[in-house]
Order: sequence, then C-alpha cells, then structure tokens
Amino acid sequence: MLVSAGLVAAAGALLPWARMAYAASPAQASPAELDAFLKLGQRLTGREHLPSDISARLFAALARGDRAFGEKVTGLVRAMDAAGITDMRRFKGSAVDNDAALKALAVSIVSGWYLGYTGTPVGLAVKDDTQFITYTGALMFEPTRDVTVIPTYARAGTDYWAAAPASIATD
Amino acid sequence: MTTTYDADVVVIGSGALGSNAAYELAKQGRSVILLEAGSRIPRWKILENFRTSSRKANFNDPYPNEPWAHTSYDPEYLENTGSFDFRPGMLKLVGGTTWHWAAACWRYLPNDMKLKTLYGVGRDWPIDYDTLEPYYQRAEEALGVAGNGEEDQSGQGGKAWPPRSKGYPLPPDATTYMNQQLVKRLAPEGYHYIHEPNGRVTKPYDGRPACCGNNNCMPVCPIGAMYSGDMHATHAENAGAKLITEATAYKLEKGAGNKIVAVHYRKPDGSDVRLTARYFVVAAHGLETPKLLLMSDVANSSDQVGRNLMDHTGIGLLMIGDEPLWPGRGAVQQGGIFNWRDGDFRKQHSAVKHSMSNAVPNRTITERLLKQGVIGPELDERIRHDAARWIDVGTVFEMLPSPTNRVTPSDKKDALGIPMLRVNYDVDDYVKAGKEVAKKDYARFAKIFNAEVIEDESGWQNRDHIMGSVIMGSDPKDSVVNGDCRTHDHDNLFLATTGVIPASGVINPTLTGVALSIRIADTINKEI
Repeated sequence: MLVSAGLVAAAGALLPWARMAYAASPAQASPAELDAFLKLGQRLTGREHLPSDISARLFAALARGDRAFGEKVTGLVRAMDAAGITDMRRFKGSAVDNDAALKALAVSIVSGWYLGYTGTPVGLAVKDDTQFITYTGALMFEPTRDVTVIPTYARAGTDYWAAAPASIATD
Repeated sequence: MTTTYDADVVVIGSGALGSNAAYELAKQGRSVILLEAGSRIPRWKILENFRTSSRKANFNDPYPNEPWAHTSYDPEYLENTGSFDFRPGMLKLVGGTTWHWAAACWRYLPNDMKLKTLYGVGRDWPIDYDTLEPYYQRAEEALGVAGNGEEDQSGQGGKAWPPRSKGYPLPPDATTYMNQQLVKRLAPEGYHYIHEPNGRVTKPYDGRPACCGNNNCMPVCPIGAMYSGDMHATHAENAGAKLITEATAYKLEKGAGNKIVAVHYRKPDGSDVRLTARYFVVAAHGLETPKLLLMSDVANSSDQVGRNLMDHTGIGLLMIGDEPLWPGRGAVQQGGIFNWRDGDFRKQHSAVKHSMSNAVPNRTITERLLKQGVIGPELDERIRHDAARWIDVGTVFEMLPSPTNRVTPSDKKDALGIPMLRVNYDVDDYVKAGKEVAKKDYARFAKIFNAEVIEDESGWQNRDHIMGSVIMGSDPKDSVVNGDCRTHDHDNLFLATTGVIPASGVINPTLTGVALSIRIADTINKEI
C-alpha cells in the first residue's frame, strides 16, 4: 500500500522524537506521484523491487522545503524516458547525465537509497541537515552482504574472520 | 566529638575509572556514593538510537545531550581558543565515555614512564612500571582483556614485552584474514604488525557474551562483549554502593587541615545537595575533573590544574590497495604497527603508532563515489571493489606536556548555571617532527600495497585520549597529584582520571587509568 507523504507528515507531527525527520515534510504528494517516485527509484538503482514506505519517506525528506520537488521528479522521469534510459547502463554519457540539474537530482535520489539518509552530515557537531530514511534498507550494504555485516548485526560466531571470504579468488 | 559522614567515600563520575574505584571500595565494605551527572540508559536504547541516526559517523549522536549534561560535540558546551579544535568524544551517562571506545587495552612500557631520564624530553612518571604491574593485571581482569602476551609490544620485534606477572585473562581473537595478508606484505619491509590487546571478551566472561564481530565497537557494542564502564557501575551497586544519577558536582568544599569536607551537587530541577565523606575521588573525565577543581579552588597550589593537556593528536591515510583484504570482518580494530613506539629517536621526535581500521567501510566509500557522481551498475561494482581493498590507517603521536595547552571553565553557563568548558590547544614541534616520519611511512605503505592514495594529508585529528590535565609528579610545585593519584594539597582527595598521566606514549590510556583507580581504592582502603 502506498503511503501519502501528507499522511506521513500528519502522523509524524504526533511523534515526540525530532530525529524522525521524515515526519516534517510540507509535501502533499498524491498516490500517483509517490508511485512514480518509487518506480523512478527502482529504475535509478537498478532494483526491481524497493519498499514503498521507504520510498515515501525519501520523497518527503527530499521534498522538504521544496514545493516544486514533485514537478522536478516528473521532469527527470520525462527526460529519462526521452533518452531511452530504461536500464542504467545507458545512463552514462546520456542527455540526462550531461544535464547538471537532472544529474544532481538523480544522484540525490540514488544517494538517499544507498546511504539511508539525506543531507550532508557534519562531523563532531550535534546538528546538521540530515534526515534518516533507513538503516538495514540502505542499498550500500547489498554489494558486500555475502562477506561483511551491516554494523551492529552479526553473521557468524567468534573468530569466523580468520578464514578467507568464500569469494576471495574472484574478488 | 564524633563526626558523622554521608559516606566513607564519594566518587564523582561513574565512568570506567570511577566505577572501578567505587566497586573496589564497596567490595571491601566501605560505604560509597557514586555521583553521575548524566542519566542511566539501557544498551538497547542506545543501539536503537544508533540504527535510526542519520549521523552514523558521529559517535556521540546515539547518546543523550541534555541541557544539564552535554556531550562534547555541542559547540555551545566546548569552546576552543587555540589553533586546533580539541573536541574529544566525551559522554555523560552512567558508564561514561567507554560506551564508545574501541577498547584497546595496552600497558605503558617501562621506558614510557622514564621519558625525561632516558630521552631528555617531557616528564618522568613518579612511579615505575613494576609498581603499576600488579594493578595492570587487576585492571585487565576487571575489563576482561583478550591479548597476546607472547609479542614484543614495544614494536622492536624482540622478546615478549613489557613484563607480565600473569598471562592475559582471555586468549586473543583469531587474526583476521585482512591482518594475515597485511602481515605478509609488511613484515618483509621491516614493519612489526602486532595484535592489539582489547577489552572485548573472546569467551563468555563476567556476564558478557563473546565478541562475534558486530563491527560496531564505536559508537556502541550491541551485545556488551566490549567493556563499558556501566558494567562496573552495576557491579559497584551490587556490592553496596549508592549510585545517584543526574547529579552534577559543582563544588568541593575545603575544611580544616586542608581536608575536603564535602561535595555539592545540583539536580536538573536546580536543587542542591551537600554530601560529606572521609575521602573523595574525582573521576569526572579528563576535562571535567580539572574544571571542577578550578571552580572549587582546590588542589591548585602548583597552578598546574587544567594545564599540560595532551591527546594523541593524529593524522590519517586512506588508500585502495591491490588485493582484496576485506576489512569489516571482526571487531573495528585488531592491531597496528609499533616500530616507532620506543627508541633513541624520542630525543628528536614523538613516538608514532599506525593502526589499520577494520570497520565496515561501505558508508565512507559510497559517500565518496556518489560525490563523484557514480550511479548505475558501476556504483554496486565499485562499492564491492573498493570495500574489499580499503586500507584506512589511523596514526597517533606522542605528545609532550605544555602548560599553555589548557582547559579552563568557560564564561558560558549550562542549564544548571555551571560553567561550560574552554580549551586552548596547539600542536608542538616534537609532534610535527613525528609527522614527517609518519608521512615517509605512508609513502612506503602506498608502495607496498600498490595503492591508489585517496587521502594522505588529513590535517590534525582528535584521538580522544585525554592526559596531563591534572598531571602527576613527585614535586608539588609543578604537579597536581603524586604517584598515588593523591592531590598534593589535600590528603583525602584523589583523582581517578587519565588526566593524571604525565607522559603520553602512543597507547590508549584507559587501561592505565583503571589500574591507577584500583590502586587509589587500595590506598584508601588501607587508610580509612
């Protein structure tokens, strides 16, 4: 089921914890807009399936303070279609890749999916503009899931790390 | 006339050092009150805070930052006036800052404690290694240290050193595949890569499970395999100590005969409490301890309180090597290169330690690739490629004490009306000369691993090893405490903090702090 970012925002207002930053979006995205954003995320990350709730949170976070965000997303989808980028192997060197604004938007969406947060972290400080999206759903962990852990989780018992990873010969 | 007291001993600060002292005293039947400025938070909440944080590189972020108990990353709380932004990762909660350390538990070498005599720089310790050795052993047993007692930890590739009266309480964890490969490449080049003794248990110990490589020692071990000070805060309570949280000590009260007669603390609601005791142990962190002494005008006849502040201020090297090493399997660090730990060179430049991070590097790598605009299938391929070959070297330098490197109470006040912290800190020529040596090593490392260097000019970095701020010495005119950690000025006031350490070496000071704290408890137990 798709979750309206507007509903997410309304529900979020009741949450006591400021860290749940996705709750503060002014966006009033329609189910159709959110569906399009989910499909765009799938296309940009090369994943057939992505969770719709995380997609809605990412939409709300990126749209925060930017009422034109929905239109920008629509513009990126149109440009991707026009350039025939159904597969991201066709992205490099395309008209979208060469358009600074479109590329930046694409990278920011991919960044949210891979890193699990939006914004720019500031080290050794208590405040910055980042918003949390997901931890275990962050796609940056997928390429190495067979070898390393998502920190805080475990994969095997004490001392498993002495053996070479199974993939070492082909890594 | 009989005097009555609220407790035999008040310990101010429930971190690893204060809690170990409190436990040792309570165990001997002393009535002990343990004061903590922060709150008590269960591990699962800190873990959830970490998992839902958007600032995972910020190790203070999962921890409370309260108006009455700030973390050091709050710029309002810690103001810097020197050339370097001195900002150690200090926490205020039951258990203190060892909630987020990597639990490296090295002992100082006998030579580290005779720096002035042997090399003509810095200061000597007023006690020697043999005096401290039994307490190192007890501290290792308290913290559950796993280590390799067969190696030369001086980094010279010689016999087992420093001397030990007994073996480590726990065997070392198995050498990671990465470290096996690193040793193969580094040893022929003359680099001694040695195992790091650490407070991560390798078998069930003291109610803790064995480390299984959750790879999150900093900022929080999810399973409590790694030692944190809250463990001994609880042990102290179970032995009869009374723990009072959200109680910020702001004044030590002097009485007749230069004795400390009371400590005053303030609660978040603004109410004040005065506690009397026979003895006082201040274990309030290396920055907060001198602040409390200065605010109270105690222990400072030498004018050295808050001065001589040292860290192992360091630099870093990032590179992508030529073979898959796969950091991220096991704990976040396991060893390092100690060639420059001790030798005649210390007459000219600081000692140097290099350690290789074993943290899962995906976030750093992905952030970098995205900044370069890498998306599409190439992003997944590059994350795997780079993660397998990521070499992250952290280097630390031995510092010398300088009276102008200094912490003082700030003019700014916290929510309780208590001064915040001001630090003035600069890096001296002794360290700058050490950096030149480290940079030559960096060039060799890059060559050995045929590496693409990403960063070899990081600028000075915090290492969160606070020393010197209430410096130990035999002369009351130029030091704050004596070799027993007793203040020269007040017979019944002891300081349990790494701030007493007068010669920093290059090793993490916490184990030494715990050893000294247990020794403080022994001294008080004998006298009381």
